[in-house]
Amino acid sequence: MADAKTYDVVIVGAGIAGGIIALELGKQGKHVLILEAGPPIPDSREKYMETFFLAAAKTPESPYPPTTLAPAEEATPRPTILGLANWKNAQKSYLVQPEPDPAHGPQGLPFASTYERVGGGTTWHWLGTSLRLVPDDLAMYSCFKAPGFGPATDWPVEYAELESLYGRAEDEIGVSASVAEQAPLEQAIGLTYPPGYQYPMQAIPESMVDQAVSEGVTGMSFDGQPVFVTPTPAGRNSQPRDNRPVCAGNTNCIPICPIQAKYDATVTLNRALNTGNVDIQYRSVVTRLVPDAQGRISSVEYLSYDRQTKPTHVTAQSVSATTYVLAAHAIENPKILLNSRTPAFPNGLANRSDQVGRNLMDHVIYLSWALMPEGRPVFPYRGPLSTSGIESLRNGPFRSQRAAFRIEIGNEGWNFPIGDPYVTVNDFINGTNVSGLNPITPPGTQQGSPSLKLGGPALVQALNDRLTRQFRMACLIEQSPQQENRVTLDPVLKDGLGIARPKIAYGFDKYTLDGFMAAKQVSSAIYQQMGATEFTDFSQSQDQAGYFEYEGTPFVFFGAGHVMGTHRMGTDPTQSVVDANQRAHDHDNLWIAGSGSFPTVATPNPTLTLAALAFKTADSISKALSR
Amino acid sequence: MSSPPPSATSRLEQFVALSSALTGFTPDVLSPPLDPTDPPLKQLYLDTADRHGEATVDALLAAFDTLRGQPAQTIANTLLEVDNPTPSATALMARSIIKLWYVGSWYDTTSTSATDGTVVSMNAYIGGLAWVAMQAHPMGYSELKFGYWNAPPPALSGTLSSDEANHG
Repeated sequence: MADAKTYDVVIVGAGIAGGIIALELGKQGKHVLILEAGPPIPDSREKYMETFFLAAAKTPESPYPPTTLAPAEEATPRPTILGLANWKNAQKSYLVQPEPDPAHGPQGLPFASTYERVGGGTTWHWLGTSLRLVPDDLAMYSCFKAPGFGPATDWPVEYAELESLYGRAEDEIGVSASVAEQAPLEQAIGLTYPPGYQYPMQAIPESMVDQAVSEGVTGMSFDGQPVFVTPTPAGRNSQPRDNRPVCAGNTNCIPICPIQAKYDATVTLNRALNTGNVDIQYRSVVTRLVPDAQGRISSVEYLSYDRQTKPTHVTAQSVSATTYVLAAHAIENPKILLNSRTPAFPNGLANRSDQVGRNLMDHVIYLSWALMPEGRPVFPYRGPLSTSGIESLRNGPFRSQRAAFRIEIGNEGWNFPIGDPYVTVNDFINGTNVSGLNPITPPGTQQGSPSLKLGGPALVQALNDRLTRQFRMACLIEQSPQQENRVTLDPVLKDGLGIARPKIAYGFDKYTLDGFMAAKQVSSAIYQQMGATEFTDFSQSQDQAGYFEYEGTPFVFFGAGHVMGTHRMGTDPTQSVVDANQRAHDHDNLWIAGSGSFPTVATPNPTLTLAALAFKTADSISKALSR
Repeated sequence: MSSPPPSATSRLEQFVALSSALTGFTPDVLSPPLDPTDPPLKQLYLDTADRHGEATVDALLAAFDTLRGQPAQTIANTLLEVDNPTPSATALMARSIIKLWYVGSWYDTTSTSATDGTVVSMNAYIGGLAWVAMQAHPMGYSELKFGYWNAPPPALSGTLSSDEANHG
């Protein structure tokens, strides 16, 4: 039992941040206890795979513990894609998202990202994208002074230090990439590496889709930036490493890699447990941190439960240690801090700045899709979900005016955009035209002939022709920090353990929306230059979560799963929650880790950077413990 | 081990022949000599279709019997009643059978939406012919080697038209 043993550190959350901190401290002989809200890591991923194979809707959450769409009955409910479809109904959606209120300015859109509450965290279904920030990304305020950027702040971390932390994170994750292939990004966006640096493994080969886009954008520029394709550094094995196999191109990084060629945090957790100094308790949901009279954290209170849906046996417990780490996720961390309020800390813990829960951000996705010309297949639905991107648009003087973005090139055809191959297969069998491919009818054009109802050899031929020509791109747009985009606690609605559920206010400012418009423009320009026919169409999507109109244009945005900003780091304790080490300004023995610490989010997928920061945090805790 | 009654076997064989014409794939693809799945997909799909209308399946098999010897495309077009705006119950059952083979999901015969399907089994998902038709592999089930995605896939094979092209 936890109480029987003395711990140096209690870590809340067994994801990648908590895992790295546990590993680093465990290696140094520190006694660590991890409290994980969700169920244990399964002995084999076969059970998750079976659940995935049998799921009708193969959403990111589909392999993992059940989603009942009844958050009031679940021990660890979480936001899901199926829940997002019901975002206005708090009986079905874990996140309480009130109806739009024009009085709140841009707020009133759904928060569209999801996460998991299981051992290993959301890295179970991360894509593996492991891009570094560039120096300007740390200095959005001093470099760009972007109008409409909330209380913009620079990162309190020096790039030179981050660079060495990136090396440690890339080694822990096992990143495959080639510094030489990334070299053109130095001139384009200021990406540099320390002299002689090499990634742990050789790069992942480009897909045929990548090759087509790369060739197609030759000579293009946009907003003063060159447009070119680079292979994406990825946390997936290009050679056997850590007793894990090489990637076999299952095209399933999200929802689940069937062979664990893609890194996930269970790798680090197992390493941490193998130090012999780290214990983990599953199904232990932290409700609050308890401060003493001096404002130091004195214990953690948590609930243990027996089963996920309608738990029948729930036990209140508590555990103490010298230091505490919240690494529970950028929505769960503020939830715990706010729920820890006391008469001495009426706004919750670590919240003297009133910034806990504020500045909720994501990489907003602008999704677009197109069909290659007849006779020029690109053979999608093969390889990792994405192998290359356009990173050359991530930085430039335009950032004083509008949000930057990166472009992820997809290898899964129109699976993300329309749910293919299912939609096109049904179209050609039923004689319908939901896909726009039966017959080929780009948005805004009249269908030229009746839809075919096919079977036999003609069906094979039609599907082969259409499905092998599909591809898509996703622009991941840098959202600006806004004070009113925030997580609070719903005063009424509870989860299955009686814990208050997160209430969300969310929307976009002009800076972010103008980035959206630019994303649309450049995506269409790329398709045009490639000779591909674009099929992006949101004009009939009024009922879809994420629908909005901007400057008369209908859009649907998607979440990237990159939840950030809710416990921002900074040097000023009145403006930020944690310092550069992710140590709470207000509580000497509390660290708060994860992408919630990002004061601004730039464009790279956040996992690599939050992993790098976790190493910095582990160093900082280690130093504090040895005082 | 006792073998199934002859009539059942021949009904199953008939179902495979029917499915071949409807899907455009050769009987060997639908019913491999060394079938790794248990139960074989052909049996699973016949049972599934029967559960949703055994009499309609019988009518479809009977209609198919009268078309023996015709080109597969003619058989498929006739059974699917492709020119009939209000297809009969047997034509709609033929559609659902094609969907079983293509994506491993049962769609009710009246379904017109891609999201209506129920996955029949793990092996059914993995065995979906849609993945073969697009020269890919089921998402989440690749038996291919690292880096295969960098080059074009092998030519489409196992379909009735590729078979004709290869032998004709």
